Amino acid sequence: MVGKLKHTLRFLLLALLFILPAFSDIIDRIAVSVGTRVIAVSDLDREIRVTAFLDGVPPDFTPAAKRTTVERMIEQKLILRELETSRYPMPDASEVEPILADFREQHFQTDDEYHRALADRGITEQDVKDELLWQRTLLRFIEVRFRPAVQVSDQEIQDYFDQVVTPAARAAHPGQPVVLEDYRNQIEGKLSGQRVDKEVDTWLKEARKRNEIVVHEDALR
Amino acid sequence: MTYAIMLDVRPLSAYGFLLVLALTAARPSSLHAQAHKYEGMVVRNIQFVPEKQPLDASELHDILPLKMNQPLQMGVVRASIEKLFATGVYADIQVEAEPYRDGVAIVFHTTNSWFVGAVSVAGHISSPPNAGQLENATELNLGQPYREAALKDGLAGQQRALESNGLYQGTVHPVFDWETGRAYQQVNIRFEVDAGPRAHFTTPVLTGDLKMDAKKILTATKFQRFFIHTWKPITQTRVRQALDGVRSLYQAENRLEAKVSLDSLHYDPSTNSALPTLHIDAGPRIEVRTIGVNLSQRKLRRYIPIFEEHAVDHDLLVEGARNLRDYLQSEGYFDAEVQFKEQRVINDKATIDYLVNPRGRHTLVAIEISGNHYFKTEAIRERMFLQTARFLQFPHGRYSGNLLARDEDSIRNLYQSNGFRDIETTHRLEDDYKGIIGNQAVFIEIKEGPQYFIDSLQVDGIEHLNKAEILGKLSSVAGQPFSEFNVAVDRDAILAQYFEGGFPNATFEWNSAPAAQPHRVALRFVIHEGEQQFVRQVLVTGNKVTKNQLIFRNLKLNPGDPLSPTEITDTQRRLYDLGVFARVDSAIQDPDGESDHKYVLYNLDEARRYSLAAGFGAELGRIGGCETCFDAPAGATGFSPRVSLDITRNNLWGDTHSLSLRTRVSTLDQRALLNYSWPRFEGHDNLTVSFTGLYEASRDVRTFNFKREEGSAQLNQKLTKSTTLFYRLAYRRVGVSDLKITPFLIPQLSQQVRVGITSINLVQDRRDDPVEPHKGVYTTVDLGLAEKFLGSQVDFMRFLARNASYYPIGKRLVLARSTEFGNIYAFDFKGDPLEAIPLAERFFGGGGTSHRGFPEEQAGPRDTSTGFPLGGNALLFNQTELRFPLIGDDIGGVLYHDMGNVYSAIGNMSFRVHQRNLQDFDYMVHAVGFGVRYRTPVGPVRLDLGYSINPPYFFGFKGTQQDLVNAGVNPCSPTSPVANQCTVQNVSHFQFFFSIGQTF
Repeated sequence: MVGKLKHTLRFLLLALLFILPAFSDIIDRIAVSVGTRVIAVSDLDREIRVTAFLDGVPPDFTPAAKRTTVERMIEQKLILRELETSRYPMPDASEVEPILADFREQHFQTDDEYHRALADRGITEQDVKDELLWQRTLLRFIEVRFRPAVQVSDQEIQDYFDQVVTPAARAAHPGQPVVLEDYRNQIEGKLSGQRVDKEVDTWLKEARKRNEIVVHEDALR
Repeated sequence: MTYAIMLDVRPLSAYGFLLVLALTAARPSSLHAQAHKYEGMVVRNIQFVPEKQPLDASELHDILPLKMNQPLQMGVVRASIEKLFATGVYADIQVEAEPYRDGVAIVFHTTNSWFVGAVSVAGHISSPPNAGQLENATELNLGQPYREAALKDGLAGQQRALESNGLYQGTVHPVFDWETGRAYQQVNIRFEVDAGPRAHFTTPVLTGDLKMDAKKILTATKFQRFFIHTWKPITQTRVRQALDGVRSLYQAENRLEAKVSLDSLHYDPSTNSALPTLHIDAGPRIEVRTIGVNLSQRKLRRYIPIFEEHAVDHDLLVEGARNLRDYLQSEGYFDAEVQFKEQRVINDKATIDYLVNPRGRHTLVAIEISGNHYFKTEAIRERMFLQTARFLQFPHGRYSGNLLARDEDSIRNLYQSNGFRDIETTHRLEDDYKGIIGNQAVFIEIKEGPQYFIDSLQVDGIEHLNKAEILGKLSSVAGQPFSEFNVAVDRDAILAQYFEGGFPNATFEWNSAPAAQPHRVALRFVIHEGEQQFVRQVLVTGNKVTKNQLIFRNLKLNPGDPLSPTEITDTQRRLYDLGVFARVDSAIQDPDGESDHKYVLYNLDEARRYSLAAGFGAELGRIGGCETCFDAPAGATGFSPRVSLDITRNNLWGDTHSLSLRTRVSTLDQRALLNYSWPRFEGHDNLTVSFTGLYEASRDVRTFNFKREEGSAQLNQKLTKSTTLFYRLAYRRVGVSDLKITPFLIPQLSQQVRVGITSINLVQDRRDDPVEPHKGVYTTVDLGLAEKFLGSQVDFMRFLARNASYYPIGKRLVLARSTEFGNIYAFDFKGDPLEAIPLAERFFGGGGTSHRGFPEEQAGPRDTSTGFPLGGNALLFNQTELRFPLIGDDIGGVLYHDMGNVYSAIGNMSFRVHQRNLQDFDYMVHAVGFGVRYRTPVGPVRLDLGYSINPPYFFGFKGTQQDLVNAGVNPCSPTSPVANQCTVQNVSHFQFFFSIGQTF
């Protein structure tokens, strides 16, 4: 009697193996956790689609592309956490409207074309706005958090001018005088930009150490 | 349809592996497409798998954005994952959807997080490292999320700790105690250690530029045992000492930059030894000289940091110059200039010259402050480091440029904190002040500027706490001076209240704006409360013997209480105060998790069951003299070594009771005390019951040998923080022998007596510092009754009270006084009331803590034949001390006056200062003296030198006991045959006392 029941149960289960796929789907899951925050697989999927949309390229869902996107999103989470805990000023959502308008104007002839493109990519206009707002937030964070600490001395500008700019300018325009003042602002911008990047990298490394980051590798496949 | 989160396990989940297989097969190639399929369908069912969730259903309902009977939106699913994960109790979450009735069923597959509970180390541990060090090496902290990676790091840390102590064959295996089935998901980890044999050193390899004989270096490492030259076992401490030893060797040769490091310790399992490789870079010899002044090498080493840092660089040399200048300024060379000059290395030698121009020596004689209207000069001066010259303590005053700058900062801070935002200070130095060469004055001018006041205060954001109560405690209120200091105080006060109330993320912001009136500001505080957190449950681990009931009684946190850090710490302190735990760790489980109900964890490490304490000491004073003859009745200088040994069995029955045996043996005293203590009697925190058995044989009083056998029961009742009552019932059998008194009294006084006495003792301590009080009052009152109904063979009442008070005089002086009064009232007796009281029960006095005009226990009535003290039935002592700083901050002095005596009876108490005759001891002895106190961490070391103005004179007897017996009743009467053996003696005018702690 018991044996017969077991046999029936096994049969039913095997039948289920074929029936269940038709009924049950994973619709979302955690891809990465950063401290107490998560990046869901749907977040990752959307990020790839929106970025590709803004870049005007097809979305790349290969594991390598997912890994690259995930790393960027981890940094985004770390920065968002810092923004929240330190109460940095956040840009207003309306600030992205002119940027979005420019983007639409440059890439799409009509509203219909724009909305069709969004639908084709499986994203919404709000997704695009969120991405643009994040880019603006990131720039502001860097300006507020790192730019003030970066100083470029006259000597450093002079050294860069002597070692890099002058040889390049002479090679490009032989015989013409090369004057520092013509290049000062560019050099200062470049050097301070490099320093800011370095500062940001250092901060991110430290932030990664401070926060436990768990990547669910199977979710990236 | 009502909302319900279904926690049912689906029927087929028993066959989990098949289900997993099915789910895996169900996984689509594009999650986006799958999700899209369900978006917009109505959610008809929500399930969680597994059924047992760490959060209860109502909490899940509250935090989950996904709701029943709503169209499915992927954004809401994502938000649900975020919310669930943010609680910290999940390690992974997957969301499944499947068609269900006319909509969709959502299933959350969750994997629980685990959290670190008790971390312990057991097995064969060979210290060092001890169990505590191995536990710390894991860096697994109570309450933190448990991760495999953290465990691996912990194991690696333990392995490093073992190997750095030569335990290369040591192994560590974690044993997990998963507290499964509990909602709190805690895993206790016990590391089973097998330390294995400890490796020993072998001949080290020395690399680098040694510039020294290798044998000398080897000796300095102390890797080998002295004399027998075998290799010592490896420990981390020995390695460190070896490196320090070699460094010191180079330092001694002035190679201040010598670098000595351990490159490797290469282990050879075949010999169980490790080969140390030391890398040495000797560097040049560096000579540090001062030109311009002579400073000892000791001072140079103290003030120039290159010696301590083992490095020579510009910054350290600059710091050295600054330190030398400060030192010279503190010595009166206020204008001293110090520079340095480095020479290059030539022939392995470099010289650093400090060029010192001390200029003239000064004495700071005046500090003049002007322009201050709001604060009195005294209020400013007491915040300043600069000091005018004072005999002995600051012979040249205290002055340096740094101190002056610091004082000006203090003055500005003082004003700014009281609303003077524009305060300015300037200073001017005047040399040869008032025409006296070398005298210097400092003039500090203050420009106070206007005082700013708060015009209005607006406080926003207080929603959950009592706003009126908070506002009532603020310093920054309308009409008060405005200062950032006060705002900071208010911020701390407000946030402290929020933290207390379980708002760990509360923040405070403020801003100010000019008000309509000048110098007035409108102030605004904004509080962001954040989420309030509560106690979910209190978990206690680690107690093996101690009863849970006892622990829980001391927990002040209950489920549902606000998560207050103060309460958590307070409970931790209470558990420590039980005295049975060596360590009490407290933590909040997963503090970063966003769940508003948290587990509070306490992990206990019980103290050793037995504790042993041994001590050695000695007494030095007028405690000596012949034990079998009548010489030196007033005591001769003596020395008494002392040994003590205490053993305690702690935490009996797991209920904090203890049993201890304390023994003490010296040439004057042998004592054994067995005590059973029951703290927190019957659950009352303020009650302690103890039972004591005592045996004592003593020669503290030079007149007799004394034996006491005593049993007592005592109840301590702590009434307030400062007041304690002691109720005591004692039975003792006291006997004296070897009496050095007139033989006719011996039969009566040497009889063994049983005393049954009940007493009550009050202690009230309101001193600011019990070790070195500056103000306050200390009072003790003791009242005892010995009576026949208590089984006593003698009847008397005993009263002894002491009151001491302390008064600060200015900032530097303390006037201290102490008065002690006592009386023994004998009743139901025959004959002389004094003789009715057994010798051992009488008052004896005099000595370092009662009257410094007498040696220890030498005050009061004496035997008229031998001159030895007999004790009295009443006492009165009064001590007065003026305590003052003497040299620097650590050496102080006292001037004192002691007066009083032990009297034969209260009726004979007298303030008379003259001794009437050689049999009169009932008069008041006065002594004055001087003492020195040297401040140490355990209290001041005390040396008192006293002069007794009117010490007692008495007959002493130079002869044997038999001579005394032969002499009859009054051996010192002129008619006595041994009258010539009676000599008039006196207690010495000069007394000295040396001990630790203030006199009173």
